[in-house]
Amino acid sequence: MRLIKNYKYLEYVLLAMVLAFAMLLYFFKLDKVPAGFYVDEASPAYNAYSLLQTGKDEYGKSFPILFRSLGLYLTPAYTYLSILPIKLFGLSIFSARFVAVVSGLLSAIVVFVFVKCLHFVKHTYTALVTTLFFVITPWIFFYSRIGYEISLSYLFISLTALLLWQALKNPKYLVGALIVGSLSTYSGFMPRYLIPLFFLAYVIVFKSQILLPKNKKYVLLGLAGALVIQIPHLLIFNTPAFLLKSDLIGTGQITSQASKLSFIFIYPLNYVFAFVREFLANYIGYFSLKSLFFLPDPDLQRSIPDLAVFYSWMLPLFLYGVFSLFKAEDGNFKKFVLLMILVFPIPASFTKDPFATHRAIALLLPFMLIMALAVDKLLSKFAIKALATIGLIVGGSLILLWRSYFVLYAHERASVSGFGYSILAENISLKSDHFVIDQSRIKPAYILLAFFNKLPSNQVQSSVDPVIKENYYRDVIFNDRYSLANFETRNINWESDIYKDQILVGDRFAISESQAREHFLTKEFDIKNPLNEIVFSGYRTDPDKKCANTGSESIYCNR
Amino acid sequence: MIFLLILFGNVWIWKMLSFNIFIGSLVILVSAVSFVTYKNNHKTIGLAVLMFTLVLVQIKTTNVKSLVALSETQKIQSIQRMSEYPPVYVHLFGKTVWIPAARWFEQRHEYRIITRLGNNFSEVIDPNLYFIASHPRETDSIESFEKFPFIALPLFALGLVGLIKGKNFMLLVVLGILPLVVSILVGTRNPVGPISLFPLFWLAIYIGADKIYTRFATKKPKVMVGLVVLYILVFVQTIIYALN
Repeated sequence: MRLIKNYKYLEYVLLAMVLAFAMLLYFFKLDKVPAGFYVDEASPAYNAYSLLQTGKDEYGKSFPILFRSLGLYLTPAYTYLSILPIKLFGLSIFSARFVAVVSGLLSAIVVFVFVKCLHFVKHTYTALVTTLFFVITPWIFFYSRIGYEISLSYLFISLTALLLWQALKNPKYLVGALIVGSLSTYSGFMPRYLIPLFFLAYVIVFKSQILLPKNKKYVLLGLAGALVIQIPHLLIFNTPAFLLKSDLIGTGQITSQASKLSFIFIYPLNYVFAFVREFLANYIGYFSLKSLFFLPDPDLQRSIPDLAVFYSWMLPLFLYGVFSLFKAEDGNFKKFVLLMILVFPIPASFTKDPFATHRAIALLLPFMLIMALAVDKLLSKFAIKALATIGLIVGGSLILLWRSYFVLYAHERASVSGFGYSILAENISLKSDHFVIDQSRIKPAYILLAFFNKLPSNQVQSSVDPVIKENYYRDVIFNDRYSLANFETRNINWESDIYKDQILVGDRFAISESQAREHFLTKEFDIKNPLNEIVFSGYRTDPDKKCANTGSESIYCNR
Repeated sequence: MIFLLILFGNVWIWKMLSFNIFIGSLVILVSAVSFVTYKNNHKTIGLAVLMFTLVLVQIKTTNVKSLVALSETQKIQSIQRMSEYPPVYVHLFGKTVWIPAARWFEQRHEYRIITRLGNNFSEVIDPNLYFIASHPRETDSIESFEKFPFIALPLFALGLVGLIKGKNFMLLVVLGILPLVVSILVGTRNPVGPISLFPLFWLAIYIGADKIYTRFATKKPKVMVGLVVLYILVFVQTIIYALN
């Protein structure tokens, strides 16, 4: 008896060790890699800071349901949860990414508990090894180190899935599943579409086990809870803010394909065929072994060089797991995993991006459960040998992760991850000059500069049109022109800006050498990325010289 | 009828026939022999000889990419990457042992070979390459066209499971493993794709279609006719995409 107790104790000690190791891995150089800071990270962080300071967001709106941000409306959970780390650690990159890391770590616990709940898993350490594999998987590792909603959404989705799985044995869990599922719609855009679809498919597949008279009270209680949680959403349901992301659907591609078919397929058949083909291409892509185990996400901002979302060595484990799944005796498990696999990529497949790993991250859970089956078989058969191999594999994976993420990604993807804004912000804060940041080719800079220079939020709030606050969820037009402290973010006006004493800043294409010569601009600074490429250049204007050399022809010279 | 519909109801076979009539005919012959071998559970020696010929033809017509050589761009990237690595060392018994990680990853052939074989493997096994012209992740290394209509994908999956369950391991080795290994080694830079895999795909789709036919033909003939019409319509769609 004591031996059994010791075993359990040992397992939890080992789990604590795995989580401590994951914590080290996820927090290691968190403020340095990604080397830059995304505008999408700055927005929730600065809004959390603003809420902490004034109880209002950057537009002066008190505790919004969705956050108006850079032309979009962000789900609120990440921003509200970021208030605590910002209160504890101050406004910094570390605190902006803190919630993502914690969500990734909590997801590891969900994986552990899920595998422990599988009654047919034989080996004691299957859950532990699966959790270890999970935490080193590039998919969750990458998104747990980026300060926006992805890993938080994943945590909510995986927790909902766990509760739904448990509800098949104990219907009381339905209450929790419905409540957590409802909450998840505030954690990201994908759960808003995915969770209702998941519940619907779950009810269809398991109706004989769920829709029983004895479960009625749990279903009703859960639905009541879910409905109450949805009240804020219902209040803004008919506003553009709630539906804004619908433009992500690749209608252009479908229309172009449909036009090719129009001379044989009559309308609307041409659109139906074009849509089905386009949807299937995206959908099948989420099961492509090439995309899962060999090729990174095609978007440079969302991928690690030379590393897919899973390590290539996981492929045999995955295939063995698929084989084991079809052989599994537990019909419910088979159905539940297949349900997740088939449903989770559906919302992502409607969008135009191929293999968008941030939208399909929910697939990580069923794929890990499949691998858990293989891990269990291998551990049961080979025990010590398997554990030794696992040690080697994890070691090798960490070397690959170090190379791809901490070396290559940190250098090669610095520019796409918003490198240079912290240095620019420092330049601005150290000088008393007026700065004009050319906004023509870069993402909205005001929020990053406000973040890095910790601008008082009432200053940002007072700089925006008060009408926006009144029409917060309806006025979707975003204006990136800001005038804050000693800087402005807008396009350079070549007619007037060169006649004012100021520093013009832009990316490497904003101001050419011939323009600098023509307008007597003096290079003030270059900000370079780790590959030694110029990210920003700053030029000081010389209005006196410009006017003297143009015979004071310009109207700006007489001022 | 199903036999012919699937054999000629795909763009791949027509591309092969128009590329080289001998190659196209050889592929049809190998497919027919594989069908007979499967149906009658014959020995696979004759099929193996034909497959070996087909594999040689594939090697001959493939623009084989070196597993170690670097293009000019890759050379520049390799040099740049060398400078990205920090110094890696460990202290052992009071001594500093330097680990040449940058050289191991960026300059030694072993890592490059493993990576390229992995990439070739991933391209060959990608279902999008065969059913959706690698869309939406097209790469410049593959001659992308919709080899089979996408409606054939579930038939292929169904048939492949049937083929595996059939336990004719030699047939699987000859039709699957042999061309797969060759395609991994030589890559997929072939104007008509990994041709030696055609018989496997064709046979698996046929088996899948046959299962559907057995299920619906007598009990629900209208459903069967509907499915055939749908297959033909999707085939027409792939032809239009291939022509544009």
